[in-house]
Amino acid sequence: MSLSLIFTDELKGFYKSKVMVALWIIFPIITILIHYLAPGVESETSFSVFTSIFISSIGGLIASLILTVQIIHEKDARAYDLFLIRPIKRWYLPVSKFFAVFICVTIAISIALSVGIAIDILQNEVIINFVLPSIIDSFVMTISVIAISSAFGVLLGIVSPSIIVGVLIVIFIGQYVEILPLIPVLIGIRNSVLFVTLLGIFITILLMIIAIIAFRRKQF
Amino acid sequence: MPVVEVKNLVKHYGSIEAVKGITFNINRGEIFGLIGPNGAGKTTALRILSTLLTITSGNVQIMNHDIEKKPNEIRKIISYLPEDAGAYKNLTGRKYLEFIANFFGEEKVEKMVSKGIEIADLGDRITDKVDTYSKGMKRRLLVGRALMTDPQLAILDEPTSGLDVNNAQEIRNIIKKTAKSGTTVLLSSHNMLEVEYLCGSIALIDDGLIVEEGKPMDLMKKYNASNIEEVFTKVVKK
Repeated sequence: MSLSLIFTDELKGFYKSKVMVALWIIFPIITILIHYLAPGVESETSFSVFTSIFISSIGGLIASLILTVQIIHEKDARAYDLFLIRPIKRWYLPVSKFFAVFICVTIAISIALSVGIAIDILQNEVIINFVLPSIIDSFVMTISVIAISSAFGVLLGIVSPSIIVGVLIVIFIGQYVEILPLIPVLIGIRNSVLFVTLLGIFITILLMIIAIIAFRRKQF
Repeated sequence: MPVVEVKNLVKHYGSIEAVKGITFNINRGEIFGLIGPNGAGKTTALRILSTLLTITSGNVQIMNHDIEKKPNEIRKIISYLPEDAGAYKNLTGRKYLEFIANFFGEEKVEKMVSKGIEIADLGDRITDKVDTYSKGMKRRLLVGRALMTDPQLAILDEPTSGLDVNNAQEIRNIIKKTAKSGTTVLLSSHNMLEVEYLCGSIALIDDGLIVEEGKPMDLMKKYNASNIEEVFTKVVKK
């Protein structure tokens, strides 16, 4: 009961937040802008695949930043007192935050990707069956990046002493962490999507376990 | 049997000794005041009793539950009002109380929310967003939140901090009424006149140590003082 309450509260908080509302709108707009400002991208790969990769790189950074900044801000404002004095398990909080942001950012990216697919179909007369496998592959990679970025954001929010330190770490180190699941693609492993998925799940779980341990030990 | 038993409580933050071995007991239905200047260790002590901080050494028992071994049992019977707690700004006052009450089980929500609304006494404004509330209204809502659960022990850190005379007076009355209904209250304050008015027993804390303890009237007699502020000054100067 408490987990669903906290998760629902976090989800409501995120999807109604100004940042998320902006993402619902900005991601599809970026997709359309890329189409008109960089029309040559379709020649090498489908537009939806390009869009997916481009948006996921921004989405990962945003997911990390949202979580890092919010958690540090809530720690400073002593917002967790309210929950931690109740007989609820401490891991509920970081896990709820992770899933709330992961779901919201994934939906925002899915909307942008749908716009990309629509452009592919309408403007370039691309046969959807032909590009569908690559769209699915790139979407899986995007999900992996967002999951790892969200977990990294949760961890950093818990351990970082200040917002400025957290933001700097996200910007300068986060980008390397979030591309870790793409290593199988970069080194050209066959069936790389499967490895990307497995690596994405493994790194996300690892980061979340470290985050939960850090949160349990944290003195508030 | 005391509701709260604190023995030789010590808390270090790294090399800083915030609490240096304090001992006190609180009886059922009592309003106990922990008073002292800023940085004396009041908030640290209260946060330990609220299970938010771990202890460095010593022993704390609340209703016979050891705070280190059974924090979740203690969390079921206490309520804590932090000095600088913020309510959820995007919720209405009523939704905020409902959200908190839901943690205690659906069957208790209606009763708790009714009590919280009664304590907060915000009238029609209870359906407005918390963001639109004045500081006094937010504090009253938070006091309502802390006391609506009928805790066996209410831990209130500077309950009237930053409030004007009227709002502070209302909250003092709520605390007195709550204690009369059987809830034990532990509060901290650097407003010594407030503590004198509210508390049956007090402990004066300075630099992490309890320097004097007793009933306000007894302490005033002992130090030949006209109020607790004067007692405190005399004790600290000793």
